[in-house]
Amino acid sequence: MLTLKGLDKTFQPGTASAHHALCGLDLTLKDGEFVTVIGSNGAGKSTLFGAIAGSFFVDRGHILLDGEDLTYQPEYKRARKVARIFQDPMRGTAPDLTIEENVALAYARAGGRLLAPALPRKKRAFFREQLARLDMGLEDRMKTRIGLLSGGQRQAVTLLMATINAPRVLLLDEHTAALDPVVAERILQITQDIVAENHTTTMMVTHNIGAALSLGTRTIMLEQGKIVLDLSGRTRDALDVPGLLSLYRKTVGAELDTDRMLLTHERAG
Amino acid sequence: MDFLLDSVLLGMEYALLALGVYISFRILNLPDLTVDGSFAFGMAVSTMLCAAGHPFAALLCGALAGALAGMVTAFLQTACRIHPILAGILTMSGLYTVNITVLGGPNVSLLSAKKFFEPLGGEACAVTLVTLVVLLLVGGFFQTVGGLCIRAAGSNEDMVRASSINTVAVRFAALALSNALVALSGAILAQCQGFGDVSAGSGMIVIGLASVIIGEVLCGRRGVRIGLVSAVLGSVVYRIILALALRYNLMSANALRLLSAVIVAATLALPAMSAALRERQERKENRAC
Repeated sequence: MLTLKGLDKTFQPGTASAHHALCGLDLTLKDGEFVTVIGSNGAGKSTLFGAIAGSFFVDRGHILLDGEDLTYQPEYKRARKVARIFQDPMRGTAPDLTIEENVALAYARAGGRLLAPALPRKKRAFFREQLARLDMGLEDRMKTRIGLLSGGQRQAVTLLMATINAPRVLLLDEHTAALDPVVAERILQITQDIVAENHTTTMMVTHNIGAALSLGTRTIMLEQGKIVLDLSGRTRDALDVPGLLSLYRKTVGAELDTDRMLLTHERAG
Repeated sequence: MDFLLDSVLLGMEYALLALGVYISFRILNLPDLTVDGSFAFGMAVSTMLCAAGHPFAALLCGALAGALAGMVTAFLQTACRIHPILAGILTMSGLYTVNITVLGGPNVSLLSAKKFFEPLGGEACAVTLVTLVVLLLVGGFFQTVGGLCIRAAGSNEDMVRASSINTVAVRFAALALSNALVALSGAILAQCQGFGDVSAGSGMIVIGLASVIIGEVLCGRRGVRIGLVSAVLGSVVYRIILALALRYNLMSANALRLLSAVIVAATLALPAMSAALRERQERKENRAC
């Protein structure tokens, strides 16, 4: 269970550009829950992920995972439990390393000795098997440098790397937004398969409101660093995209900034 | 031909310097200016221990001294958040005092001392042996999990920061390893040339870079294993080029530094120059039609 209690974060406090990104945010996720996260630009979605993953420490509040206090645990220690995938497919893999070396690096996160060979034969066979599941023919190109792959292929490998040790929490920060629609669909499918198989607690930020309602079991909406809508069960099942937009208008008193929805396939500026 | 063999030997003595520079410059992707200081540090420590009658411990402690210098730079870069280049310069600069203290003067002769290569079948044989053993060990290390962490950090730091790899530990390990090799080169050289000199380190970073770059010109940039071998090869070829130039009076010995700097600058400028040239060509063609 992931529990967030009263998370508060201000960037550059005391300056003209101070930004109160999280304002006492509370959230509890049950094990294996798949939550989609929506909200307009600057609502605090990525900040929330950054706080959970440990990119920075929150000013106030607590982050608990299965009773363990993660609030002040450094990022690299949390990374064993909390995996995160970014929108930019170039960000999650090391371009100068081969496919198998990247996967080996991710797999080694589970622990083990630093001076052990990274790619003994047994592991290689296992990695090959894992890559074959992506169904992209990457298992036959294991010695190819990752930098030579397409964005979609790189994001698929990133996804495999993030989940190969079955983390307890998976944070997906618009991880398909920079890909073309066909590839994005494929990556989403793989994501669902892996998450279902490992029973991973998952949060996914998306600007595709249709996907936010159809994927997972719960949808939360962020606005100005707070959760303004928390939908699950029958209420959520009954909702369609226009319904959600009007619900948003009623709750927040403004239109949901949907320009990015139309531009889903462009990079965020 | 003798002068050629001599320069090959000299190249092997400086090979570990090139290897160390390759690790910081190409693998970690972070030029490290500690090199000038750590080279002389290794030389100073080696000289004193060798003079005291411990030629093997001299090499080991010389390398450890270099590792320590690398860790000081890593500390300045990470905990103190000093710009990586400046951190290296600070360590290098401070090491001058350390080195002169260790040596007890500007230089110390090792004329009558026992050297590490004496029981190992002569200078050439021993230096080659040490270089090859170190090359194999380092090559093997970069195929281990720890080695992959360093390579990944140089390739995509964002990824490493968001992973369970401790980026600070990686920086410490990489700079310690890099400077240990540089210092070991200084330690070997001290015993081979028969004296330790406090100013021997000056300009070593450029010589190391020139070796790495010459190696890459010869072997291309293909993977770490070939990269490490090419650095050693580059070091040897660099010495041969110098020996030829000096022998046929193509330039004076004083011009060495300038030539090395020009080689490094020209090679590093090559990608930018060829891109600019290509763009100009394209513009020209565009105007023509």
